[in-house]
Amino acid sequence: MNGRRWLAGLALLAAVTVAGAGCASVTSRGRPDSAPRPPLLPGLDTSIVTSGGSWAVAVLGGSAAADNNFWQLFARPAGSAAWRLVTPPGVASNGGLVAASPGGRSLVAAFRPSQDLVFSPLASTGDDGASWSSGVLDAGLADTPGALAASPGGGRLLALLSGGEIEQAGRGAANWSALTSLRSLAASAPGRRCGPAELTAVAFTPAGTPLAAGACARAGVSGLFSYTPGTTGVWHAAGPALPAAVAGRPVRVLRLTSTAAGEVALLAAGTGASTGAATDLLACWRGDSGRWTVSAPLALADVPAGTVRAAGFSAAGGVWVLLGNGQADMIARQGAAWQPLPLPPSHTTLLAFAPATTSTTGHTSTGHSSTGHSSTGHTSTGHSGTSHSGTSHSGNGAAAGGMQALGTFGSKLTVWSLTGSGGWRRVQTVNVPVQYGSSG
Amino acid sequence: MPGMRSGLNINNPMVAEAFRAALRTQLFIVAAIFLALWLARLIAASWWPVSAQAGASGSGASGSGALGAGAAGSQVRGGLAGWLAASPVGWREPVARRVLRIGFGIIWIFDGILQAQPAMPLGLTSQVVQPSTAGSPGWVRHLVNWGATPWTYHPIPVAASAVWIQVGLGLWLIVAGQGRWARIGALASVGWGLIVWVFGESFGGIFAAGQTWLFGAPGAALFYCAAGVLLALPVQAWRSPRLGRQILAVMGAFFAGMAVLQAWPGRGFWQGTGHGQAGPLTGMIQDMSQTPQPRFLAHLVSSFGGFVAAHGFAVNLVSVIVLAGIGGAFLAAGFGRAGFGWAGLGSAGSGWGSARLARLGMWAGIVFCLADWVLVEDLGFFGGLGTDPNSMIPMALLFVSGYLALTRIPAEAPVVDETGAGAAAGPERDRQDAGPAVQGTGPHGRVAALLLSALRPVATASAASIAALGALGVTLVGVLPAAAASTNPHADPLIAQAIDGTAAQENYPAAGFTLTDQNGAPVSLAGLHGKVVLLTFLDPVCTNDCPLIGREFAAAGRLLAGDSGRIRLAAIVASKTYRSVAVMRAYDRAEGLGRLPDWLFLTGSVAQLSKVWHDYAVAVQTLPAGAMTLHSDVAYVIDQSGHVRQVLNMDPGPGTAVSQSSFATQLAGSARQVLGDR
Repeated sequence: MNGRRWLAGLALLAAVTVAGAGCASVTSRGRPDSAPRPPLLPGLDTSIVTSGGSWAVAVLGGSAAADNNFWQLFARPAGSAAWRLVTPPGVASNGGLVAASPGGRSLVAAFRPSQDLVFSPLASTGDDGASWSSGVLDAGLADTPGALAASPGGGRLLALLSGGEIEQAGRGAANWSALTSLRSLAASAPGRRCGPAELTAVAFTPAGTPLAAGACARAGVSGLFSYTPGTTGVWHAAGPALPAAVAGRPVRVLRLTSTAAGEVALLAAGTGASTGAATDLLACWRGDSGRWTVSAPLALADVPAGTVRAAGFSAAGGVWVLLGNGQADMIARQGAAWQPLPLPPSHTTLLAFAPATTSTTGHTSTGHSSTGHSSTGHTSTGHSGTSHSGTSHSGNGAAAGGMQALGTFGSKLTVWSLTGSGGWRRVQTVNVPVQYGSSG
Repeated sequence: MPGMRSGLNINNPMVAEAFRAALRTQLFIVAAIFLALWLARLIAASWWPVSAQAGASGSGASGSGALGAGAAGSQVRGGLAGWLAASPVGWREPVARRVLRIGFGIIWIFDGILQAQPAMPLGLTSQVVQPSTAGSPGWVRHLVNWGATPWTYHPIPVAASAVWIQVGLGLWLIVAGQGRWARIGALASVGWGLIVWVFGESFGGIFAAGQTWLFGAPGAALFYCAAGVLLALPVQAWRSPRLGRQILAVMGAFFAGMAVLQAWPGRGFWQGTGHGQAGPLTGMIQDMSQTPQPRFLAHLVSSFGGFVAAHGFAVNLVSVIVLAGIGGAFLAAGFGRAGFGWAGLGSAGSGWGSARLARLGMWAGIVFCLADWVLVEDLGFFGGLGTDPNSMIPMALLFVSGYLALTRIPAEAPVVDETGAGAAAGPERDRQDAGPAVQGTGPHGRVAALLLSALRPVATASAASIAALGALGVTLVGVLPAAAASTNPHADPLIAQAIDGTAAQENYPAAGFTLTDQNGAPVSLAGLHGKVVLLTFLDPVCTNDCPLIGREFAAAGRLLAGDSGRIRLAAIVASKTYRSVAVMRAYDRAEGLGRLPDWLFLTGSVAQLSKVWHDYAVAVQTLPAGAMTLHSDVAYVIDQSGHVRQVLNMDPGPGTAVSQSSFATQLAGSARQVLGDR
């Protein structure tokens, strides 16, 4: 009898082992190693337009291996028709480049860490990228195009770190100090009203006041904060009131910058079209009056991937977005309405407004003071929105005068200009000497 | 050069030669052990001729069934002599046990020989262990990685250990037939089998997806453990058919379970191909056929792979039916006597029905296992870095042993006293084995008496017992270096040398320089005289090699903490652009160098740095388009008088924790060597 029990026990053990093996065969599945970028947060590809010229950040290499893709910086000084490669030397740019301009011909670029590097080297120029001086941020910069800001005049820097902290530095970027963090901001009075889930951008106002922006967990609240220095320093809610149409949706600040006229922000209301929820993009401007103007919403309902691949601004408050389906929209100048652009050429990774009074090859533009706009484009809250139809891009060439599309393919950058007839015409190709294998 | 990081080939000639040298040395030690034991027995026998003759006659008369027996009659000796022999004479080992013991002994020896492949030190973890963890949950991977650490940090001694442990265990099982030695050997086999099963086979993949009996689940080493447990059972257990039934019942349950697993829908085994891709069985067979092996075998396996691709459902159906049939036959045989009337066609006892079912199951199992072994497992040891013949042969040995234990019961044998405490003890026995008398009672006399008493058990031991002692010695030749290596948390410098070659020995004056350190203070090489300087060149913003070299220097600094004050670790900036004190401090903080008291990071103007780079033959090149600065990875060991004594290549190779630790050990060793030269 005991023998039978013993045998039964062994049989049970064998059965449990087999069952365990069977269960393991259906339950054991790995998860991806890194969290994907939030669907609405634009990539690092972007352009910056100042009175001194335009800058573009784009990734080249076209390789499946991350260490063979290098982020590059291109400059097109005011008065020049051509873009040229000005990537700061000495650092592998595989992790990404983030740039901020204090205005004029100056720019500060920060290298995001990659491989075994854990902090962000900096490079600054005052001559359109002809020469660079080095600096360092003793931490890793966040993976967002708004992670770096330079105060007008170039005196100070703000950096958003990958851990959600914000640091500031004085002239020369020699000494960095903590300004705040996501956690501290969340604990502040304006933070409690927002419930910030993440920080996405930093900026300075034209007067030099630090700004921080992010995504609020509380629906209908825009996560924009301004900082008043003092012995303790206080953060204030600084975001616009949003139209009732988007009041019930979570809001994320995608991009934030300042121009001579004030601050410009690009907001997303909703969680992304891929989630099935209604999602709109809104541009917001704040001028000397301190009051925000909010554009009519741009619906992303039929954008398949529900993503914003890239976004940027003009010096006069214009906004462009390149969507996940390859289509593009723009607001030509502060207060104007969204308008669809002709479908950009394939491989387009970013758009760029031309600097004012710049003549491009075979195409003369008057910048963003183009004709064809209706004054009704100067909207405030409550306007009916523009639906992104994904078709019928015609007749906007004049409205978008001076707009360029920059595309990358392998080690080649191609530039197209928007023609008056509403098409894209290739105007330049830049062959970049990508150093394949140098980071492997 | 950053960006030119090299890997480490598992067939690295330096490592392979070091492995061969270690094995040669240990083979010499093993031979010496056997020679010493043989000489000791000869010498002892000359002092204790009576007992030695008895032992010799005992071993000779008992044949293979009495390996380990040493004394006449059904008695065992007490004390150490009892431990050495510890089994009665006249007891005939059941054939089932003998098959299991010798079979697994041979397999262990074969596994040990496979472990001696030159690629094993570097290849086992990357080619065998890591693939075996694929699909296993995180805790399995962590546990296996932890267990593999001694191997990866000390590949030569631990790989050589595996050879001798397995050869020793195999010899042990073969020569120690019964008694305590045999049982201890069996338990050692269980212990090592468990280590192999957990850390070498990742629990045989039972926690991973897609495992199947056909591929070797639940792991060959688990069968080694089962065999060890059976061999460690008291000998009486083998003198009853009950053990045979139990073995067959367990094997029957196992086969039945494997049949269920094989038939389980959704695991892919019912399709030879699916969605244009090979099914799991087809894929594995095709993979195996691509590995280096004799052409006829590759053709055979490849043909079968094509057959499975075309007839996947039929192949799986046959597999399920055969597995279930074998399982049913063994279960019926196992439970035959216990009251399941359907199985016992006879009236009582084991019944010819049970035996017949068991025989049917056994032969079906043998045929099926051999077919799977050849056509699916590709004989187990072909295909990459084979470590064993996989699961089919050990499994077949187990159920064959179970069948024999059920059907070949030995005749009643004398009572066995395995304690070794009873029969031999007593004045009569002592008088018989008293041997030559020792004259004198002084200190010398007592020493002589002690020596003689120590030799007595050796003299009375059988040849098989001496061989078992030798097998234990072989096992210890493996165990001891592995145990010693496991206590050392720092990797062997051999790994660094395998990546970059050995250090060049030099003796010339080092070029002087005066630069600025990370605190802004001026530092000259002349000011460092009296200390050994480990000097390298680092780009503080490089993304791959330099952070690793910095960590290696930091680890070397910790290893050299005892020589603090006599050694300086220094780096000179290798970048024309990023050479500010702020950047160097950021680098120091990132790589843990800021806390190192003997650390210097030196910078200067481009002109100053360019001169030093030239003097030390360091190429520094600024590349365009977002590439890091290209520079040489090199380290100089400068002695107390300012002479370069060694130049080391510092390409960090794969940059793993192991290679970093190895470079740190190499750097520390070089510094200590130069310190010791003075």
